[in-house]
Amino acid sequence: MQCEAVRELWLAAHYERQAPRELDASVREHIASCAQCAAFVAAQRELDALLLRADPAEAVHVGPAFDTRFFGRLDGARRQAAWTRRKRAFLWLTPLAAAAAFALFLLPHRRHEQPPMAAEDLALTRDLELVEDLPLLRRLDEVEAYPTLSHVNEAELNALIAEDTP
Amino acid sequence: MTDPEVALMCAFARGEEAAFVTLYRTYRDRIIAYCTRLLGDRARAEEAAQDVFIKLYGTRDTYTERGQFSSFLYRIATNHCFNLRAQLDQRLTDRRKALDDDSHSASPREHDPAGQLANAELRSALAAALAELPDKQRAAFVLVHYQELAYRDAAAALQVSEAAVKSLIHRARISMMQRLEPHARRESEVVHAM
Repeated sequence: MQCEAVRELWLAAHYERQAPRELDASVREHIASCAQCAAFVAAQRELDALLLRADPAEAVHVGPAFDTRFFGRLDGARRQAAWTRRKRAFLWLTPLAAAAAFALFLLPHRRHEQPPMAAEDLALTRDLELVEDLPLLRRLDEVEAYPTLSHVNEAELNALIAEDTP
Repeated sequence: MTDPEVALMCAFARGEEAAFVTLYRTYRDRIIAYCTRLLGDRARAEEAAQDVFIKLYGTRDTYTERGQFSSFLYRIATNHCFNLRAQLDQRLTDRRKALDDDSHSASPREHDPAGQLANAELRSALAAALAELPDKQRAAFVLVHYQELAYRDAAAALQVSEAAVKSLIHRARISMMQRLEPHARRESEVVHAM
């Protein structure tokens, strides 16, 4: 067994408050046969004695002012948390409020706007403009009213042309 | 449920404020002592301990029952103290330097009767030795040596393996011994002289 592993095991047993006889036999044998590990164990015992002298297990004395201050701070933290929760809720409401405002104020205005015309509607509008061109329509009617040329004799045709010629 | 403190924490999570007060009263002194050893300053440690309990209060909505309550609380305390130390690193470096200067300049052989070792000096040497340890070594050492946590619970508090705790303790104690060796030597001289 390596020295470092032995020392770690010894320390673990030391902190688990194990009696030496409860220590793993291989650890005990190693320490008994290894001068460095034996010195390590002796040094650790010495360190424990020093630590005990330097910092004996003293009770922590805390005055009532500590508790008063703590519960005061806790109240402050509670209020802060409540405020943060409200603020967070408000932040969630903001987009909803914005959406509601949009629906209330902007959508009615959109009703008055003309939607863009479809191609078919545009063509129909153009046709209607043509329909409104009354002199042209009258001409078309006249053309339709003409008998076919085969039935028109030359004299009549000349008379018609003469009529149309200004 | 084996840990009654976990039951208290669960009761607190359900809204029983009295359970929190019980936990606070049970652990207040231990957390102050722990923070004092990690931070090396009692006033700052008291402030840190209050922060720890306020943080504990804040975990009410998210607390899930797992492991020992003490490990959970020490984990909060350890992380908080590590953060504080990181923030105050420069100031602590100055403080360590001051402690070093004190321990080097003070010569008990000159001022004290031979063989008398001032406990105050030993204490300041111990504080300096603790302060010299890397954060995790110091936390592991304090949790196991002073707070008397089992290796398993210290591992849970530090969020490392049990084997890592063994190694941290081993290295911490070697460093402490090296640092405090002159005092140990002096003490044995005193013992032999008597």
